[in-house]
Order: sequence, then C-alpha cells, then structure tokens
Amino acid sequence: MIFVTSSEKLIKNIGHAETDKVIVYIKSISDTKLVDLPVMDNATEAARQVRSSIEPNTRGIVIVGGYDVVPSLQLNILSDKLLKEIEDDPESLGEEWDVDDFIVWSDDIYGDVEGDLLPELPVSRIPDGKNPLLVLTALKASLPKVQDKYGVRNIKRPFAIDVFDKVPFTASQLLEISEACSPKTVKGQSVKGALYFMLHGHDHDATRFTGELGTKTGYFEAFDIYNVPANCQETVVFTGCCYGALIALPKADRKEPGMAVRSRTYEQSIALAFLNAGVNAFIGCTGAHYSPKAQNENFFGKPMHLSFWSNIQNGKAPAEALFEAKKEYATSIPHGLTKAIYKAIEVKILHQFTCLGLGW
Amino acid sequence: MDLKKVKEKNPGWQFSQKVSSRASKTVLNAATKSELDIDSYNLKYAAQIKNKKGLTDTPTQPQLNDKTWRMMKKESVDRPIDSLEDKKTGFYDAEGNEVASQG
Repeated sequence: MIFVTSSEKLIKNIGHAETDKVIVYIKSISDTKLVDLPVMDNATEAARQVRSSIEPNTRGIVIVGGYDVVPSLQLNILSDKLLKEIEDDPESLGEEWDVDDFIVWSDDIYGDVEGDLLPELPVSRIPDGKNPLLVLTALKASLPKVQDKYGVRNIKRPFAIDVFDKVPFTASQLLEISEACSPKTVKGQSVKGALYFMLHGHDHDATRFTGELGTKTGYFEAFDIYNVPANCQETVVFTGCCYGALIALPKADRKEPGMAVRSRTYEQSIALAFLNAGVNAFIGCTGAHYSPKAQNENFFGKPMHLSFWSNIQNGKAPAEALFEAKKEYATSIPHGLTKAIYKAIEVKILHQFTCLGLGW
Repeated sequence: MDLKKVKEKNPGWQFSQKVSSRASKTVLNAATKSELDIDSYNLKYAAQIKNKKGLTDTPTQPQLNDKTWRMMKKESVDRPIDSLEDKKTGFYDAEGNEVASQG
C-alpha cells in the first residue's frame, strides 16, 4: 500500500505535532510506503510523482489530507470524441445539460499507471477536515462487519429496493423510506454495519440528505448530520446521493484557476462526520448523481450500486470493492442507453464515485 | 415528447429546459480533459472482467427506448419556505412518465 500526503501542507491544517503522529502511525503499518509530496496544486504532476513509487505488488493508494493537501483532479469527462457524438446526435442536442457541465473532482489519477485517467489500482482518501483526531480515527478504522444493514431511500426511487436486497448482512436489516423517515425518527443504534443511502444531496449543504413526498410534490428531509452516531466502527457507507462525497468547495465546474479550495469539516459534512465516527469507508459522488426510477431498470447509478455491494459480499475491502465495481461498470457502459448525452452521464457516474476513508 | 403530457403526469411540478449554466472558458481550459470514447471504457477492463471469478449477478439492461425521452429541470410549483430547493434534472418518456432523475 502507498500512503500519499504532503506533510508540509498537512501541518497547516492539523498542526505540527499532530502531523508527526500521523506520519509515525503510517510508517508503523507493515508493507506500506509513504510518499510525502512537496506543496503542489497540480494533480497531474502530483500523480506523476506517486506513479514512480508504484511497484508490481502495490495493492492500492491511500491519500491523507484534503484537496488542499493533495490536489484532486479537476476532470472534464467529456472528451472531444464524446462531445462530437453529442453534437452529431440530434436527439441529444435539444436536451437539458448536466448541472456540473460534466466536470468533477476525481482521485483516480493517483492509481492510474497507464496514463489514460482510468486507474489500475484502487484509490481512497482520508480528508483531514482540519482535525487530527479525524485523520487518526480514519487511519485506524476497522474493516466493516457483515452483520447489520441499514438504508434510507427516496420514496420515488424504488430501484433502491433491489440494491438493498444485495447489501450483505447476517443479523438485522432495515430499509427506511424517505417520507416516513425523517431526522427525528432515525434510530441511532440502527445506523451501523452496511449503510446505504439513496437520497438527494446538495452541493451547497452537505449536512442533510432529502427524499421526496409520496403523494404531494416536493422534498422532505430524511437524514441529517445529527443522525450520524458518535461511534460507528466496522461500518461501510454507500451513498447514491448528489455531491455525497464532495468534501470541499467549490464543486469542480466552479473552480477557477487561482481560487482556493475550502475543505469541509466533520461539522459541515455527513461524509466527514461518518469518518470522524470511525467508519472504514464512505463511498459517494463528487458531483450530481443520476438514477433510474423503476425497480426493474438497471442504468445510470444502479449498476454501480449493485456491483459495489456484490463485491463487498465477495469479501473485498471497500476501496477494492469500488474499484472492481468501476471496472464492471466501465465494461458495460451504456447499460442499454442509446442517446449520446445519456452515455456521457454514465461516464460521469463512473469517474465521480470516490472512496473516502481508509477503505482497507 | 409532449410537455403537456409531462405536466399532466407530474402535477405540482414546473419544468424548464436549457437552464443549466456552463463552466467558464477558464475552468474548461484549466480542467484536464479526458481523451476516451465509449469503446475505450468498454475495452479497458474487458479481459479482467471476463475472467473474473464470482462476477456480480447484476442483470443486463436490455436496450432502452431512450430516443423518445427528454431531460428537463423540475421544481415544485409551491416552493418550500423553510429550505432552499435546487432545480433537479428529471427524465421523461413519451407518455410523460418520469423514468429517471438526478439524485
């Protein structure tokens, strides 16, 4: 395993002595290598330096620090070829456009040996959230136990029933529905083990996920940051929520050159709150996510959800399970879709799913 | 796709098209652009997936009739007063049914 950080930058976020503790801990883990980068804001250059340390037996890359410590790649997933396909497709031209203009944050470049922006190794990131305890907690997080499972889904997304059925468990299970479930009704003791959220997320507010109303129109708050238990060990979280893993602002399509990236803290982000509580991994998207409605449909985000849990069921660690799910997803794009712009949405889904936390 | 049908099937929502703002030229220039097409994605891991033991039993999606779908922004007619509501993208079939959505 290769751990990547920039201690010079991490010191500014969590302190000198605290950074030393983190470095000492990483060096104490067997079969690991630490790549300590100089301060840099170019992800391509940072990844090039990491690549030179990758060996045939390297199992994965774990980034330690937020986007301001080790930069994430501001990735425009629309290649010239894909854009031309959209422009040449009369059915695509009249369509609404992706809310992120197909530009997302992606860490996969750190596991990309071949230089094509598709990784050969799993990549995970432990954001510092300006908090040394969060970093150490996340570094020491235990692998999830396949025992209990819990989920909350949007009432208008019954496809998630299929996915939840695939989430492994041996003891308790509970899938709540957004309209009946609200932050007031979530029972903290249920939130552990394998967690699945299929709800709306928001780029401007990472402290809540919302569902929809069944018979009326509108959105309904389903789960908020106060529902994250203080202690949530041996747990893996998978979210099919827009911006669920957006750990900093601005979102990628709004990041102008020279603009500073502002990291979120565990008081500002459900993802970071879960990491602070000890989960092993929080899987989610850095941009808007798309999903089908009907239970029998399997396109947009759903195939990724199914593959991830299937790989967890097969004993993979979360970082590896997401990596395998991405490979399976890439091989099956466009999952029955034919419009060029919908294919581009699937490519975006592939690139924007990310693993936060140790993941191993 | 008939907007009237979408409105009939989805009461309480209002719809708009071509409203998503685009990234600035400076952002587009700064972002790293992929050079991959769909075939590149399909081929990259094909050999590994083909030979993978215990491959997921994910059902294969038959070809969809998505040429008749329309992607639009939707928002509640009665806007919530206690929280912000972002316009979200919905996908509607020829009969006006929502078949997919942002989120």
